[in-house]
Amino acid sequence: MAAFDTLASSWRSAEDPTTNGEGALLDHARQLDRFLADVERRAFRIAQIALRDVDDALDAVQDAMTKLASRYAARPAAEWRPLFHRILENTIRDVQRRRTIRRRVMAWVPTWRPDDDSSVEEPADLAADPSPHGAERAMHAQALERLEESLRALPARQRQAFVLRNLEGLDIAETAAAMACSEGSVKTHYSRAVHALRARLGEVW
Amino acid sequence: MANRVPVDWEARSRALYEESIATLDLRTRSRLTEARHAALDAARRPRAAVGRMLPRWSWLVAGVAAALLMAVVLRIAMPSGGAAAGTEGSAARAEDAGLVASADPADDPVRMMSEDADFYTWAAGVAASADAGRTE
Repeated sequence: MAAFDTLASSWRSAEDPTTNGEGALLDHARQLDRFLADVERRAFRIAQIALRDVDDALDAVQDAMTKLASRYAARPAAEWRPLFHRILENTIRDVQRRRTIRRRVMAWVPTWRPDDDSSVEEPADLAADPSPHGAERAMHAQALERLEESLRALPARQRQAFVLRNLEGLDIAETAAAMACSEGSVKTHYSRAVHALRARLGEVW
Repeated sequence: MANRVPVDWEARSRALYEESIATLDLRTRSRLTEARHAALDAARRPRAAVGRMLPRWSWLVAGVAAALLMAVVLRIAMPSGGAAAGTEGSAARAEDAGLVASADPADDPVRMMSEDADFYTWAAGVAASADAGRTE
């Protein structure tokens, strides 16, 4: 593969008719587009579970996509997935950190009130659905809400291990790459996450 | 470990998660597509040469330096104001001096003696002759 650092340089090379293998480079860029299209909804759900806010989740996903495309487009496509999850998790953590700082600063303002979660669809809203599948939808939504609440209650590393291993289906090596830790640490975090979730949700959840 | 989790428990959480992805509303999907296009466009735009060469934190340093420079420029630009203040100060001091100068000389014995030396010489002579008359 030609040596280029960013998607911009790869595209520039691809647009340059004098460059050899421009078709391959353009394919690479298209491949990245396809990868992002495949992963965007899942990434949004991961961010939404962690941040509990639609707009913040969308911003986090866009940030992560931009960073991947700007900095790591030249990496082999097989590396994109763990890289993307690592970037996304860092972005989520940045948002959470900013929120914490904002809360601490704004706590000094007498008229300030913390943001409510009005953008989150509550299971009670779904229960009002009069369609034949309304009750079933409500039950699923309630179960999902409990799962998400339990995931949010986990320490960040445990949540990340559970989401990547169980919900995203990454193998241990990919999860370790995404979490920037050893495979042993992944197993430990995952095991603790499972125990904590079972304790919160119960065996019959 | 993972194998201690009941399969249905693990599978159920995964199924719920997949369902929540599949049933994402159209608006969110559309916003995600826009976000992807924006991200790819942003990545496609070549950054300025300076932007490529400098690390991200350098912009923070540059911002602080600019603020400091502004403070210095303002401080230097103050002389007009500062000079005015200085002029005002010296004028006030001169006014004070005038006030002191125009004060009653009787309040200052040294000044009084230096200004009316003739008077005191005359008074001393009168006193001396009076004493001489008394002793005679």
